[in-house]
Amino acid sequence: MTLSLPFIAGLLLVGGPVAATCGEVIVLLGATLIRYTRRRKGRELYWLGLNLPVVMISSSVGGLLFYGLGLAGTHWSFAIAGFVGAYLGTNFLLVTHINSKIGAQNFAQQVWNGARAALIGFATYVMVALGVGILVRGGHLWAVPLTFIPVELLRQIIAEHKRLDDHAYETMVALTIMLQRAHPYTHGHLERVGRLAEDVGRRLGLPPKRALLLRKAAVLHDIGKIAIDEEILDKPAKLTDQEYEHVKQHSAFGAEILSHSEPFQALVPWVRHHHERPDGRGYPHQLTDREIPLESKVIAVSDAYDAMVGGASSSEKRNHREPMSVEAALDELVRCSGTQFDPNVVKAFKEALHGSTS
Amino acid sequence: MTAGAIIVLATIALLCIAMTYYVLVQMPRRNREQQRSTLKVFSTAVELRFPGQMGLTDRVVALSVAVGQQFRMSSVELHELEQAARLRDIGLCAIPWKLVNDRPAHEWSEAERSTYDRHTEVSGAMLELVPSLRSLAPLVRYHHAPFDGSQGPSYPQGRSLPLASRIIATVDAYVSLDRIQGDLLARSHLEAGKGNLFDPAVVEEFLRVLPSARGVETPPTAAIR
Repeated sequence: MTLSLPFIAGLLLVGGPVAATCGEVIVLLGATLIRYTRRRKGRELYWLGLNLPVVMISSSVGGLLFYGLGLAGTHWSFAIAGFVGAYLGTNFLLVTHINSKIGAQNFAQQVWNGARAALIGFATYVMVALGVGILVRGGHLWAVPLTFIPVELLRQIIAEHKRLDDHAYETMVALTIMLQRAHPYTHGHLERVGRLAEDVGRRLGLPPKRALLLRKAAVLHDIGKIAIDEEILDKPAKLTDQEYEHVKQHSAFGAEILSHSEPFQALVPWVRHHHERPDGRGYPHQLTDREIPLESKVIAVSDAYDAMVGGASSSEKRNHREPMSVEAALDELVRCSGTQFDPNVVKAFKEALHGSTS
Repeated sequence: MTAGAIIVLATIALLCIAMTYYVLVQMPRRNREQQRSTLKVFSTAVELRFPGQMGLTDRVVALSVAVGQQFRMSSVELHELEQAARLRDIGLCAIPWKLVNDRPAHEWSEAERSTYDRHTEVSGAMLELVPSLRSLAPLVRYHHAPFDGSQGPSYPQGRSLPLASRIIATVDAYVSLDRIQGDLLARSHLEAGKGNLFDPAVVEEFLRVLPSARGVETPPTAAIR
């Protein structure tokens, strides 16, 4: 949709607002038609209803700035750059706002995530719009189609980046599927731990991007259990020393598994140390309080809480104990804070939990 | 045309060149590297679960690609072959840990063997759950299917098996036997299986590339166990 923007800007320059609006409407209807023929049917009217107001608001803001700058007597090129910039800015904010209403992520976080990625797009659009303006005013109409080239290239780059992100995400999903086959967790345990960890991480002041990584790490923290004997993991009785040594390897295994993949590099130490304890009695490396990554501490608390309340695996629910109440589980976390858990993390965890329940 | 206009147009031209380079050269390379490293995650997980197979997958991947090149597969097909060889055994995570780690394969009962043989089905079913890997599911599902169709009517046979599956079946059989019983016995197993277990053409090409590709076995990484 925004791909046509430089050419709308050209129309605005040559034919004025009426021509530009007509161009917009034609593009919008064309896009709806393409969706109607190609994609899932029945959604195109919904899409049009969503996009028409967005486009109208964006182009009004852009148009106002264009005429404002024009009246102020600035050079036409500034007016065009202003139009494109204002249009894209408004469009970006509106779309992000809609996304934040549809999805669970909050608005400020999405603006921050999206803005940096969108910056190169902004620059390209402004440049191309200026180029179209120059060609049109100079009467070189034949050369205008050439400006499709950079726009198309930009579209490809954006699509490819999205594909890479999707690929990393699907890898994560596939790994959890694998883990589920090796050792069935209670439905939703990993997702819940992920959500809790992200929330707590943000409360502890992690930047949004890092909190998102933390969520991935929390979902994948037990991935090393793929390499552990499932009979021992599901064993109802107390483990022998030898069996316990075997189970303890899972955090190092998880780190080893993830270390091969470039998009997961940051998660490796967090996964490796999610069973370390501030009093130095954890594993695998008996790290002490300061050496343990904050992210590992968050994972440890979130995992312990969800295991107490919901049961991490079917066997735990069946054999070890009944699920605890929320208060009892929180009391247990507080009781173990300082030895098994970091007191600050436990505090942030309690706040996060109360924030989400109230 | 003013100087300003020329600067703008020149910048756009430079932008086009930079983006073309990025799209045609940089991006495919980055994609391939990320995909390759990411898929290694899966084979590492399986090899940590069953350390007896440590290092096998790297060798199966390298040899399969070498054979695929002999068949003049396109670069897209080679990439799929590489991915399928890398992911062929992810279903092993659903096979009991003790069965593989505590007992040698020749002691298994009939029932245990058929449990183990289900891993191709599990691998295929798992890949079908992941949109970007779905196209690999059939290649992986048939990577132990016998060439003559003796597995049963639900399996394709002969040339209707995907070429990638036929290649992986041959290479996998050789590499695992080579590890346990040595090169000579592994070769004679392939020769004996020509036409019933393996595609004769694939076996021939494989034995042709084997001498030049043999050096690729990477030493197993130290397993902490």
